[in-house]
Amino acid sequence: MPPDNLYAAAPSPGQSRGAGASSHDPYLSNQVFGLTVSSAFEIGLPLTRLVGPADIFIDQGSVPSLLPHGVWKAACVQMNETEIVFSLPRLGRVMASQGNRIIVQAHAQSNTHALAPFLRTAGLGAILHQRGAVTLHAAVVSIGGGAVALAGASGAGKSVLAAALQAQGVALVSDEICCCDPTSLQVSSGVPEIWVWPDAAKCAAIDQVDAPRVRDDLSLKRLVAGAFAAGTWPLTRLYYLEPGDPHENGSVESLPPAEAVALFLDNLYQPQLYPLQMRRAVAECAMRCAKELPCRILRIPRSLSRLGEVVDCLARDAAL
Amino acid sequence: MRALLTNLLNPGEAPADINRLSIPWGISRHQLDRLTGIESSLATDEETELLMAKALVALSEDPSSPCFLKTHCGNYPLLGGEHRFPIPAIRCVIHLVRHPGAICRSYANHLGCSLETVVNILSDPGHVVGRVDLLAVPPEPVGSWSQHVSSWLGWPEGKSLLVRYEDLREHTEDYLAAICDHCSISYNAQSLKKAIEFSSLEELRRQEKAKGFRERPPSCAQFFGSGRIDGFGDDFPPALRETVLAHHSAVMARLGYLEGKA
Repeated sequence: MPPDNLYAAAPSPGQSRGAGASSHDPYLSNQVFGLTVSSAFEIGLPLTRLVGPADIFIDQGSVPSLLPHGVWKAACVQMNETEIVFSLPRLGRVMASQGNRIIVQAHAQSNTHALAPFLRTAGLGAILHQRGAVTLHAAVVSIGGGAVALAGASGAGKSVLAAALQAQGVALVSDEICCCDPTSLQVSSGVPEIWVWPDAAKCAAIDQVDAPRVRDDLSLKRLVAGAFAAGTWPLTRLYYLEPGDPHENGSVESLPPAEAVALFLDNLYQPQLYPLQMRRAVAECAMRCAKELPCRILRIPRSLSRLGEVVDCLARDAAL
Repeated sequence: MRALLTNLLNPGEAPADINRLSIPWGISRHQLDRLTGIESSLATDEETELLMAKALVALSEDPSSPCFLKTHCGNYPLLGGEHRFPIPAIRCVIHLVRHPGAICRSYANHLGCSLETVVNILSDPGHVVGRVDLLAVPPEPVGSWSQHVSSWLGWPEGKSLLVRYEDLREHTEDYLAAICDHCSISYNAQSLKKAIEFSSLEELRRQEKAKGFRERPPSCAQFFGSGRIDGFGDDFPPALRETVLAHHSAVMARLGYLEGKA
């Protein structure tokens, strides 16, 4: 069982949150991973009217360069019992606090727009850790009423594969982060967007010419999901993407449970940020997935021109 | 070089698998992201370079490695003047150079393009080895051949060992021993001989023919070639030879490539 929420409830809109806080526009509100997010500035999430209290507030403010009692978890990440700070060279700092607040401080030469992508990934990922979720570095699609996770390292092809499946009518659950309740193995839907590079999108025959950029100074594009499976879905299959021979089609290989556990743990999102009290829950979740769910290695050839064959291979295996 | 070091550092009864060399092909994005805690694919090239410098420091502080790392990058300073390769993080450098004529041939085969195209690339100060298909490696600024060689010649004296590919091919045992001494790798005559045998071009070609080489780009028919050490040779088009000399003769002279030998 995950630990009880250790953190205070999110303050209501307009309630004072200390020096430097600003009141929130109640119209800037989104549902992401089952949470209502209210942001004081544009972060590229679809906007809806705020209904009820927000779970997470995002605001600009002062973020310490050194966290009190902080431990460096990576070269650019510090963590203490209640806060996680990401220091982004030349851009600024993003702090996830107590599972209910994200504070952003941009450097003088930067702005919140440049920090927004990191806020939406690392920042939200850290909040999910603080709230007791298990997260995989994976795109998730909905097949047969269940959530199918496509996990892999950066550049493995998760997003472009999800986009290619979308093009065949498969609904997106989330890109980048698979947010899973470790007890129920229910996966929560994320943002109805896929971020793809133009050359990858081209190989998947996806039109992205008019799509907006994730950042003005980056060619990475934001594609709105054509079909989106909002809500929660039972996790039913896991695919771990690995590079295959560049001259062969995609292939699928079943995994024995021990290897499936190892790959699950290897593909956790921000693994170094799990608090100590979560580690047992994470391990148990890994073992349960390995035992109860079909886990596969999906080999993707280096050449994106064979992506269609990879999609076919996955579709046959998942009985699409 | 990676095959040589893998066979030397991890000796076995059989040659090391070319698809599982222990010396990584640069720092992958995955490793970069794990070392920094930041998703580098959301960063610009300049920001990624800063992250890379931080990752190298983090890697050097990891007691479970020292590790060898291959890089195509020139040793160019970052935009703010910072060291791309923080000097305290790098214990030693093996600076491998090769005659630009031979590089042109090899690179043309690698890219599947004409010799003329590669001659222009070698003179391009903005040349970057970028993201290729699904290879998740951050961009590596290479620059022109002369700039690249000169940038590493500036590494602090005593911490860099310059090795000409041609010398390594002709006197492999001597140069491998020198590399071991430079990097404080233990060895003996037998371990050197075995590593050399297991890393011969014949062996690498044999493995590539038998089971493929995952790092071979689709544009390249065969990754491991003949390892020519004759510089321009007799078949390099004269006009292109003049172009290479016009751009790179100063550095070629410094490396001894204009002394009537490769």
